[in-house]
Amino acid sequence: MTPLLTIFTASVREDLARLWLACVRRAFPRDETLVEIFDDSEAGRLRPERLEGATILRPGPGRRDFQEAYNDALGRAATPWLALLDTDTYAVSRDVWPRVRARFGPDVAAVLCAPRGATGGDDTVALVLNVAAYRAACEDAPDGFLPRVEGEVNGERPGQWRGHDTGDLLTRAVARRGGRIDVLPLGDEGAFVRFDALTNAQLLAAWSGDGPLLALAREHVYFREGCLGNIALRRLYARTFPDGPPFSFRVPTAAVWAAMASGGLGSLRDAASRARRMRAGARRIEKFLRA
Amino acid sequence: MESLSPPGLSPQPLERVVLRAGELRSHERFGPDVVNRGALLYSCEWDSGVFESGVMWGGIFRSGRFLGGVFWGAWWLGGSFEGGLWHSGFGPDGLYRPRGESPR
Repeated sequence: MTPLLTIFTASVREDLARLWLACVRRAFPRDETLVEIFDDSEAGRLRPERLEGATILRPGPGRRDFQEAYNDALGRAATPWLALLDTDTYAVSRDVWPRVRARFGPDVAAVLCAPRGATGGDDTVALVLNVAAYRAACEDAPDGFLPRVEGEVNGERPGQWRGHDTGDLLTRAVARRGGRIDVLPLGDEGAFVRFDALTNAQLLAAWSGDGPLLALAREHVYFREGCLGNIALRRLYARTFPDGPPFSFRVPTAAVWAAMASGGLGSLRDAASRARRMRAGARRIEKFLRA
Repeated sequence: MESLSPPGLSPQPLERVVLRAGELRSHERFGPDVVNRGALLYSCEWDSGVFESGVMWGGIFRSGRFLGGVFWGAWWLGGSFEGGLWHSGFGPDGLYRPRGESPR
């Protein structure tokens, strides 16, 4: 059977990529899909022998980082459909592919499986796109998936700007050409387990230390999600890959909870609620992988 | 607050604010009297100071010298990028500049 879909992701972290790939390999039929992982680690940390079944792409001209790698993936795709699926989004159902494929039609330019929600706009978290439609729209949006700044926000707080997130300009160009963006919220239906900020939290800890990361996690939900999600997946990773290498997020669990507690009872309750959801998500991933 | 000028070399030593490793600063504006030596700046505005090390996450780099550290998802409006890691960001034209493509 000729593959119909290329599943593409970019990752700094091999541990997340391994969990992600294990889910993808179970959720999608191998004879209909190709899997590509862009190594965004700069140091070649993603080892092909631990990511069997995927093509590992190293940085190079035209794909110097993950943003450019999206454009590169679109340009290279040898299948009519291309799925962009983040490594913090884990497919846990074999229904994903049949459900998405059923939406394919001549006027469908993309199936958006994880809409951004409250912040609006389009998203590349779990986007299955028609390669021909997106390539054509690059004529109108020559920077493709790249984000862009439009201007400053003159509000009360300094340092703020407004702009377009990854893929927004291109997806809007597709829509202007008559392509339909079909929303299929599989994440809400439980076919994906989603986390957020996993890699950014780890990088911040590596570059700034645990203290500044935890201070941010007290103040901002995004980083709180990143810390708690890493804790939930750290246990799962250790059980799934007992031979290592160790999980790369090293901030101690106790330090994360101490930081949450120092933010007051409201912060602690919020973190506890998020942690319960994430532990449940990790259990769903594990159940799917062991089924 | 500490003086960065060696004693005896200046009749009026310039008092500067030095941001240190382990500090987090959010949504603040930093002027010419500031040196960053390791702090994490989250969505801040940097104008005329010296960024020696640390992380600039988001925000706006309006002017000054970037000598070291990590520039990450921020908007570069001006100044001189002399060292450090350009992880990602935007140039004065608002266009995305990928890793390693710092403004000259």
